[in-house]
Amino acid sequence: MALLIDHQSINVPAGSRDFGPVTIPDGLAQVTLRLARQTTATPTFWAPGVTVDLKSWGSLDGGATWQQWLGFGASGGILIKRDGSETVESWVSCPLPPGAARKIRLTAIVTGGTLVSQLTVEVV
Amino acid sequence: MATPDNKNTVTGIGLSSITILAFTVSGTNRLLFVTVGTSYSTVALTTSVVRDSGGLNESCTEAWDLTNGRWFHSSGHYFVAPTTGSYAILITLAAMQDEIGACATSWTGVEQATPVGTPVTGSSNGGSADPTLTVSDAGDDDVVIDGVHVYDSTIAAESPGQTEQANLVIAAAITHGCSTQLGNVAGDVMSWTGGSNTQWAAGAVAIKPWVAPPPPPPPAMAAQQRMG
Repeated sequence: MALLIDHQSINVPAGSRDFGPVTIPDGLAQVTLRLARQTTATPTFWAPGVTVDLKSWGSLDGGATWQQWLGFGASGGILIKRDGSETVESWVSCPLPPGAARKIRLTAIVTGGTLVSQLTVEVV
Repeated sequence: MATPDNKNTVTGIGLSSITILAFTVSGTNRLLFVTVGTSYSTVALTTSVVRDSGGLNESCTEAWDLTNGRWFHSSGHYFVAPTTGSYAILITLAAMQDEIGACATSWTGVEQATPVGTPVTGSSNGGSADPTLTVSDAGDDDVVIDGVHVYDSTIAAESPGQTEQANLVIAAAITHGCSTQLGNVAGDVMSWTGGSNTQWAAGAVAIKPWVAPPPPPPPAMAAQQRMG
């Protein structure tokens, strides 16, 4: 397991912000992108009305060429789960294509206000 | 018989849209099929599923879309003759959803005019019956594909001949499954077994095979036919 970006504090005004690229260690097969949500314990994170479109691009040739990889869209505020608990992070995960020179970069497109959160990119 | 070409899967939590990483589609008489399962919202799923959104904009047709009336949703979507190459797939949900799972599969050798049969759906809002659907219009050379979203963390395709395409444990006790089976095997029953299965939503449909048109008659026979 490797944390390519480990709970990096981010403060993104409406607009877009790029992250990376970062190198994916060889042999790891699954990637997960996480954004910390607003909860009772983190009231300053990801306010209601703020929406994020988190896109990622991957390269299998060391960054020479890129294609779209996984991503998600979501809105802020406290999200209550079925069991009454709060969702701590919005995340997306998928298998990675194999390769020996892989890289990933991200773009967060923010609308409706400033996104305050923590970004994590994990591969296993 | 339709032949599997390629596939990819994705899972997520706390999202209103999710993107499946690009994977290569190739071959002839192609079909893209995407199953989606979500939980959380009580509203209908009503997703849009678009390959290469903003580029090719290949917008899938909905085969089924149902909720169990409580937390669980299942939908299936297909696109005929997707462009060859590698493109991501954007799945847009009607509202913020909790546990989300999706499986995209590409196929070759599929009938292009009428690629799928009549969808079958089912759901449970309690009890312990396994998710089970019977696709009665599946022919011998059809491939039946299903998608299930289950309140269970350990499910397995149950019917003989049923091949798991995806078995995605998204969170504690929430799983999205997709499987395929050759038509007329096991009575065209698609079934998943698990520990509790107290809630689920599922759909299934037959993918129809491309059939080569009959060759033209040889010249002599054609001449005889013209002479009556």
